[in-house]
Amino acid sequence: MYHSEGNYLSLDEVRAKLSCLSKADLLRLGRIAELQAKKLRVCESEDLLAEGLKRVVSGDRRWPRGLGTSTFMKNVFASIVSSKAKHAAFAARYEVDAEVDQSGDVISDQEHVALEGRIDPTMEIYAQRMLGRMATTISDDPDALALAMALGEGLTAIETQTQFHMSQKQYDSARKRLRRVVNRMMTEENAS
Amino acid sequence: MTGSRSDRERWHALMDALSDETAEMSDEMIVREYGSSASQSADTVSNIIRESVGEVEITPYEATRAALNEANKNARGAALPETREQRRSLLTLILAGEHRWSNSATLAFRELDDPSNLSDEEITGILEDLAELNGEDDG
Repeated sequence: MYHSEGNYLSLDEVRAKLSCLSKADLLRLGRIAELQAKKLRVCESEDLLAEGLKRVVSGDRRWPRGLGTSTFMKNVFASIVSSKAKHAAFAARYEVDAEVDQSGDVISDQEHVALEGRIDPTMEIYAQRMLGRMATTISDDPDALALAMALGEGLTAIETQTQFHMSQKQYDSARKRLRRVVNRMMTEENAS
Repeated sequence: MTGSRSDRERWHALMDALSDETAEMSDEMIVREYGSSASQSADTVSNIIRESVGEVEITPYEATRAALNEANKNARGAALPETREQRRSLLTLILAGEHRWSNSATLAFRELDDPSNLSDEEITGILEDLAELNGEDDG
């Protein structure tokens, strides 16, 4: 009992912790919610934030003791976004499944559904558009472009520096520029 | 961009990497970079939190102290067998070297070899200490 329950914050602790976050914590939380929401074509960061908090405050999602607020909430947001993506993929599969032929008969091809229905095609198009926009914006910045590619492929900092012959200073500087480009893109997206 | 991943996977990995970076940024850097330009200001986030959490009358320190006291109380209670006969048998087993707590019992209670002269309260106290030493929730 001690080791299972004691390893998680109580609901009182969760509420107390969330109610006295610093300005930096609040900005960090809002920013992470924005980044996670941007994974999907249609997802408001404020809704994601509220949904994440609801799960945490209700105890649906337990908070491991010792895990920082930002890291924990990032995991919560990512989990919600992943569920939403799966739901969208399921809905897309249902649409494919429910297509009718020219005579109005429902096409029922289970093999086709199993092969094609795993990913929502609109998500792929959206991701392609966002990556394309970013690549265009940083096209005259080879280090930032290389870094964006590396992060997308899941390379570590060391792997990135080795593969693209970057010094630590160049890497850090590229991260800062990439962060600002993405920030600008998100601001423009939100304004449009 | 090349590689074996789809664009969706790449985009998600990029957003995750930037989220992780944001989580690790210092307070000063966060305020400097996003304090004035964040579309979602600290006030907005604070309001959403207040709506979710409600009024909180307890400080994080008080809440943690209460939670740890409760967990500790539960652990100490749950660690021991229910009857005094069972508790006495358990201690005998431990002192005979036939229990997983035996090593710590030898270290902590090296002068104790015969539990028959101990009162029930003393046996309970020793078992509670051993449970705590071994960090277990059952005997």
